[in-house]
This record gives sequence, C-alpha cells and structure tokens, in this order.
Amino acid sequence: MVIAEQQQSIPINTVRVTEKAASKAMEFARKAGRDRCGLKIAVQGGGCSGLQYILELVDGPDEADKVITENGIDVYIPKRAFVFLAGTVLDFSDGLNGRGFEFHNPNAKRTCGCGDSFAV
Amino acid sequence: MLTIAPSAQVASRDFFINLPLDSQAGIKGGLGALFGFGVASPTPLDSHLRENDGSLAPHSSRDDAYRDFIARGSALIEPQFGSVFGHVGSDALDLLHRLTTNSILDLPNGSARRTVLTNEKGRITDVIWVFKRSDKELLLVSDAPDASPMRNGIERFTIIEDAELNDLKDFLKRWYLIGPGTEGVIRELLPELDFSDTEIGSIRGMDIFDGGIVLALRTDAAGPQSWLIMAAEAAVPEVASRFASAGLQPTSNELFDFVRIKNQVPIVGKELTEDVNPLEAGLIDLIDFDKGCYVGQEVIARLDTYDKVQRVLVGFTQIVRREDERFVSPGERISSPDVGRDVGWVTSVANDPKNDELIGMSYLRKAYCESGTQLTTSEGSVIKVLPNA
Repeated sequence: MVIAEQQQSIPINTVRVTEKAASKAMEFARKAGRDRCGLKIAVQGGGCSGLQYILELVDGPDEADKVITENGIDVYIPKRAFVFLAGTVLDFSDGLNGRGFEFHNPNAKRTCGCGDSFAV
Repeated sequence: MLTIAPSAQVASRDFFINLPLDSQAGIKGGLGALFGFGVASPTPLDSHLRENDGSLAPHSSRDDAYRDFIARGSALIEPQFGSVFGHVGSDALDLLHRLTTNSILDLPNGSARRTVLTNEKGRITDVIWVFKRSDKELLLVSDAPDASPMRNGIERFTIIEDAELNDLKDFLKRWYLIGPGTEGVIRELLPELDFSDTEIGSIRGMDIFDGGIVLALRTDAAGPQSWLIMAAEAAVPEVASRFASAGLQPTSNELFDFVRIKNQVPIVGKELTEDVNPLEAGLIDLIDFDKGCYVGQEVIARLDTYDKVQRVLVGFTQIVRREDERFVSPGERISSPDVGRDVGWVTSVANDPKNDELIGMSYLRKAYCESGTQLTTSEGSVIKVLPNA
C-alpha cells in the first residue's frame, strides 16, 4: 500500500510505522546490542522550518509518553509532541538515493529540503 | 521607581536563586558568585541610599543634554525599549542554538554573544545578547521595543525541551551609557570591576551586597562604546547614587537614537524587522554558516551562496533646499530619478543637534547605495547616501 493510501486509512489519533521502518529500527537495535528497546519518535524546536523530528532507540517509555505497538516494535511518543505527529506514517527508504527514515506527516504545511524539519 | 510585581518577583527569583550552588556557597555567599563573577568587597553605604528609590533627575532640555554629552563624551540613557529574560533549563542553550543564527554551544561560561532569532523565512524576529552563566542558565538581553516576538519565537518551539523563559524586566533595572568617553566613565563608576580587557560582548559583574547584583555588558547598541548596566533591585539605589555623584543625568532616548544613527547601528523594530533578513541588515558576523540547521537557515544559506542579497542598509543625510522644507520621516519610500520605481525605504531619522541637519538610515537596492548618490523620497525630499560609518 502506498504511503498516501496508508495515511488516509489510519486514524488521525495514531502514528503508523511501516513494516520496513519497523524492521530497520529493530535491525539497528540488534546491531547496537539492544534486544529489548522501543523507538521514540518526538519533535523538537529547530531545523530550517522550525520543528524537527527526533528518532531514538530507548529502553522504555517516559511517564508522559503515548505507547503504540506497530509491526512488532513499541513506539513511544511524548504527549506534547503527539499533536504535531498525529496521522504520521514513518517509512524507510533505502537504495542509493534513499533517504533512510522518512516522515509522512499530514500536519506539515512545509518541509525543508533535507526532510528532517517541518512547519505546521 | 523600580517595583516588582509579585508574579515577576517569583519568576526572577527562580532565575537567580534556584540555581545549583557550588559546594558550601550559599545565597549569603553572594549571588555574584552564582554568575561566576568575583564578588566585590561590600561597599559602605549610607543608610539613606538604601532607602532611595533610585530615581535620577533628567536633563531639563534636549540642548542641555546634548551639551553635557559633548563635554563628557558619554550619556546616560534610561531606555524605554528592550527586555531581559532568564532562560533556564537543561535544554535552554541547545534550544536557542537550534533557533538562532550564531553558534552559542561553545560560548564559555560567564561570557556573552549575540545571535539573531529568525523566522522560517529567514527574516529577523529579534537580535539577542545571550549571556551564559552555565549550560542551564542564560540571560537574554534584547533592545526590541516589544519582547513578545522573541518570547513567542522561542516558546512556540519549546515542545519537549526542559527550558523556561522568565521575564526579568521588573527585576533588573537597565541603563545605557553611550559615547566615546564611556569607558573612562564606567571605570570611575564601577571601580570594583576589571575593565582591562573589554571588547564588545564583554560582561562584568559584581554583588555590591547580598542580592545587589550589578552587570555591565559592552555592546554596540549605539556605537562601539555602548555599555548596558543592569542592576538588581537591591543595587539600584547605590548605582543611581554613583551616577548622581558623577554628575550623570538621564538623557532622552532621542539622543540614544541620534548617536546610534550617526554610527549607522541598526536596532530591532526599526531596521531589524521581519521585512528583512540578517544579510541585508549587515549582520553577517552573527551568522555561523557551519553550525547546521536553525530556523530560516535554508533561506539564509541560499541567499549567501547565490549572492542574492538585493538591498543593504545605508546611512543618508537630507539635502535641505528651502528653509521651510519638511524633514524626511521613517517609512517614506525612496526612488531614483533614473528609474520609475522604488529603490528602498527610510527606517530611522534623527536631527543632528549641532547643525540641525537630518541624518537617517534606509534600505537601498545595491545599485543605489554608493556614497554621494542622490535619491528622492515619496514626499519629494532629496537625500544623499553617506559613506559607511
């Protein structure tokens, strides 16, 4: 299913991680020797457009995190960041011209060239 | 008179007091120590000075103020613009680094650096002096007439960060000392401080007595010799008393503007606005092109790489052809006789008290900014571009 279709099909109050992105995240975790960890997805101020994504492997959720399980991986999202991420699909693009993890965020009105920063 | 609203008092004291203390040093050890400054020996004070509200009698007239400025080489200004914020938290420095043009992560403790807060279009929101007390404690000083754009520009991007802005406007009284003779004046006023090596961005501080912090920051707000003096409430009577003893009287903000314009120094709200980017405003020294992303970075990098800066900031003087001719005003458009369109606009004007000549600053398209170029404003006045100050 293409990303646009996935975005339309997911409820707006969640975040989806594609099978490929989840598999890549777990692969990174294994290589780092972290068999039991989750994927933290957050947003912080900065980047060319004002907001930038954060992806991080963490041992567990913080108190203020929303927890979602997607394609076998636990995803932790700070509640304060969730408002900027609701409806987002996290995908992974590989190959020579691939950009690695890619966010398809319906809240982003503008995205900068590198794809790591966005404005709402 | 300096007053502290209850809410401001809580916020400001949070900034000053809720700081990690070194070993045995308590609050009684001197708040100056918390800033990383040496604590000055307590200055003996007459009790009436402590009861004084710190008010100073201003000059009686503009001419009087100007004569005093010329004689002394320095003027005391109680700015009706500007703000001071405490920015505290473990992410405060990193957040500000990610939002502004200059690199501040490498700023040593106890020093200050200027940076530009830009919007997503790479336009200027504010220009801020960042004084770093530690990785978790910053003092942000701005000359903007309105602090809300800076506040909004930082707070709207504070999402998961541990960072908090506290308005210290009502806690720290501010004065500017400006003019070529200021360094000598400030050495006499604050002899406890070491002014042996003071470049722009130097900051000195002391604690006159418990809680009586005085900070002196050298800026270029009105030209190369501009010092911003900030004093906590407890130190205000003492500082005001020293000003009075030195014969310094507060002068109107008009004189500040005149000196600033004479030195062609831009200020937030007039030259530095969301209509222009830092390259047009001549703030290239405040941009670190190697620091990576910050808000507006992509636009600014593109303008620089492809040399797309179209206009620059210049000084001008008005050519008065008739005695009753009106003076140019900020906002007037500027055109050239050889083209039928605008080539810029006026941002600031000031009267030179010495010869009643009008000087000003304007943005002009690069092709028209050569010294001596004559242009016409939308109201029919003729101006002449001045050489760079």
